[in-house]
Amino acid sequence: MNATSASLSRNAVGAFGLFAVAVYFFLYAPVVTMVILSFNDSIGIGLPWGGFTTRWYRESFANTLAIGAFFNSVRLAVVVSIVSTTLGLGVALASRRIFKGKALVLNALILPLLIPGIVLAVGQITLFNVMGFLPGLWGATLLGHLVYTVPFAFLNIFPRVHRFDPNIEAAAADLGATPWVVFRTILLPQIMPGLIASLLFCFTLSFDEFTRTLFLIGSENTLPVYFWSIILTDPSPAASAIATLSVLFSLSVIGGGLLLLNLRRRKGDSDATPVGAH
Amino acid sequence: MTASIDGPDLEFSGVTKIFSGRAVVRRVSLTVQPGEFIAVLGPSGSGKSTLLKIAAGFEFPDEGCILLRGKDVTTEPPYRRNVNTVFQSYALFPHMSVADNVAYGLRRKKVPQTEIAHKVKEALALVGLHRFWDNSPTTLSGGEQQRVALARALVNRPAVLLLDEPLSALDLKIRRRMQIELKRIHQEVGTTFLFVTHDQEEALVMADRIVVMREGALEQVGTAREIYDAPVTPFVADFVGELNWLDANASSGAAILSDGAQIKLPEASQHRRGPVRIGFRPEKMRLAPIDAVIGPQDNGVRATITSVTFQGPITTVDLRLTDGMIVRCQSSATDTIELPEKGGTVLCLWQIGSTLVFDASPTEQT
Ligand SMILES: Nc1ncnc2c1ncn2[C@@H]1O[C@H](COP(=O)(O)OP(=O)(O)O)[C@@H](O)[C@H]1O
Ligand SMILES: [Mg+2]
Repeated sequence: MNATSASLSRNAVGAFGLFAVAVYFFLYAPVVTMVILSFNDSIGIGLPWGGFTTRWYRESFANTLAIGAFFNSVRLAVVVSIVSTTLGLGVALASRRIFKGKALVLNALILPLLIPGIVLAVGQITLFNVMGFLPGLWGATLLGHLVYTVPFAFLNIFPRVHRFDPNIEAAAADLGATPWVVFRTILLPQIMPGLIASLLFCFTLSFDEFTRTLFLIGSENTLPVYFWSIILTDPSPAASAIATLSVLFSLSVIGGGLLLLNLRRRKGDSDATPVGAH
Repeated sequence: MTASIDGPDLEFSGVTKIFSGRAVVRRVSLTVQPGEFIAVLGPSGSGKSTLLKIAAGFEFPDEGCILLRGKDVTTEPPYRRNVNTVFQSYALFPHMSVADNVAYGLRRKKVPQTEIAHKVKEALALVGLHRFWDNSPTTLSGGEQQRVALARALVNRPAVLLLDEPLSALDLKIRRRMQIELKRIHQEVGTTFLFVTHDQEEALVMADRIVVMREGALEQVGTAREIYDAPVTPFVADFVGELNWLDANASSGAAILSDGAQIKLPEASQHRRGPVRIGFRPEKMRLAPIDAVIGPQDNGVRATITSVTFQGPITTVDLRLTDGMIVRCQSSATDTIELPEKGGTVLCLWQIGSTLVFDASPTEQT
């Protein structure tokens, strides 16, 4: 490598650095703005600054509609993440076997990722209508979310399952482990990072979902739908407070998940206390 | 174990396995006695691994049955058979420590915790790995992983230990050391070993008995000496060690080469008539001056030296017989020191007793 190309690459590094700074600015500046404005003692969202207040937070915590929407979102996200991770695991395990039309089945599962959410939502609401299936949180919305999240669950789990050496499971069976024990003590601990990633991913996808939910939920609320309705009807800094709380909640869920992932990294046979020291 | 003490540990009885219409294992019957070290030897694709998988319960035979210490286990799953396998890829559990790997089988059998600790320690000492107790297997070298796999299997005291080319992933030097190590461990624990290899030298060095497989069938079963000195087919003769082949025509106790030279046949082959293939090992051959006397116990043919290769402990001499056939002689360097140079003519001598005679049927060509 000569001096010219070295200095060229230094320039390139500078340019990329600048670009990265810009990206981070546009990523985080809106969030920071929102957080600041949630403490603004004024009636509307935005400037001027009317002084510091925690009033909007107190109001939000007393707002039964907001609280109800939040718990709807949390419960829905928990159910969606568990169900889609289970389904994703099932498909990933099935994909280890060779069967006719396997490629078709797997590709058909991934394909909905390429279809715009609003298109799928309209399709679903039409289909549900025909089937006489009413809009609502635990029927239509749950199904709509699952269609959206199961491919992501599969994509998180499949690589771990796929690269797992089947000889290792054979060795466990050889040492006396029944199929269920093999799954519990060998496969599960090693694909756990993928499962946790899938749970977290599907949780946040569902928790944040808006477009499909709006079409499918009918008269009920999730936090994003509620948020949208107050922005339309009553845009006060309370909306910023609710949004800030929602971001905090999402972050703590993800943080907790990552912590969990790190904790189990140093664990051995999940089945028993380790063999005593010698 | 309630099984009989003096019966065989493992019996294959007429075992056949068919994969997509092709018999990969054909009517294999084999009895393995307690404490034996058996090597299953054969070229790649001859069905050795499949035979082992049938013993372990990973494959089920289409015909025949498997007896383990007298009990029919033909349809039992792997986790209900008292055999353990050492896999070629080691197949250690990467998310467990070395000790937890070794303890895995004992835990499945609900052995008490204190006893597990004791047995694991003992097994790791047996393979010389007690220092690696807490290590992750992913941090160990290939040879060390191999030892962990061995300890993990042996700690369960299986009726039979199955080893599928356990050394083939190791480099030559470590492989040699592990061969000796494995023999020592076998003698120390007394467990029956069924050892698969495609390396004839490894089989000769290690096994009490060798089972030669070819295209799914057992070609010959015998001690290393029997297999080497008295191969029953040209395939075995060729696969185990090197061999010189001569085409000849047998009549009244001798085989005549196309140039008229006579090869005397050993007692057991005196009855043969018609086309035969004569075999003899390069290292059982001596070279002598052209005017030397051929003893009554010896066969001798004239040949021209085409090349002489000094290889340290031995010298390899390639020769051409007067009828054009090529033979090779390998002997210790001191024996060949007075040889004429390349192009010279010598007498090739070997004992009548070490002359192998086979049918010249073209299907037996390898
Ligand atoms: N599960 C299987 N399905 C189809 N063919 C197989 C299977 N396992 C092995 N074979 C075939 O059986 C033959 C013997 O294989 P194997 O027992 O692995 O031989 P070896 O261990 O002697 O190399 C090979 O031709 C192989 O391709
Ligand atoms: Mg094999």
